[in-house]
Amino acid sequence: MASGHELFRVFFFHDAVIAGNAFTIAPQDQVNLPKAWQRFGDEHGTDMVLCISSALRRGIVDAREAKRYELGASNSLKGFDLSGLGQWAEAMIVSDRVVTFGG
Amino acid sequence: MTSLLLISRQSPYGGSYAHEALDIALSAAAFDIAVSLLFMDDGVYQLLKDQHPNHGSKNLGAVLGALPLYDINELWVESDSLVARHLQTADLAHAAQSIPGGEIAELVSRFDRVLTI
Repeated sequence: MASGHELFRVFFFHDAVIAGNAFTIAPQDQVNLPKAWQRFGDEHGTDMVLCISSALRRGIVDAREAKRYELGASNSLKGFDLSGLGQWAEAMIVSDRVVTFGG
Repeated sequence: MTSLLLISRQSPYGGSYAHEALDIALSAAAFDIAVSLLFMDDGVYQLLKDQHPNHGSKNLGAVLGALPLYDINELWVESDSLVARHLQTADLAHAAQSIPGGEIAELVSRFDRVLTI
């Protein structure tokens, strides 16, 4: 971002969806990764999407999914949306570079 | 039309990566992306004939069989990965074109996008 690149979207897939879990507590001397991503999204206005099937499988739900599955609470972090793989496909089409970590 | 080479390197069961790679392929195809698949490393096990996963696991072989319905017809398998696992193309259920490891760089260069799972 500091070099002037435009980031269309960050798509969190598989285990990466835990970056959107608001119930994550980091030890005091360590980075709280979900909070760090949230801050990044806020600062840059970046669209941040959690893969909905990866998230549901790992117990990460937003208010809408909590209602749908009749759960007592939701725990996705503000600034993250739960959505499908189509969001990833669309981002791949409109962007001239796709960078993947952890594949 | 954007082209995508999806490189699938994980075994079919024991984790969800292989299945999720296919989910990506199907989603991309639904967005009119021209998808080809390359299976390498333990990913070649996904192509084996007669898969009978235990109850509770989806049969990945059946999902692979449905790829032509999504216009995904180009499958590649890295021959070195087969040899290392004492497998031959005759062991595979799906018609994948065999490619040696040394030619993968050239294959990759033909695609607009490359994703490895």
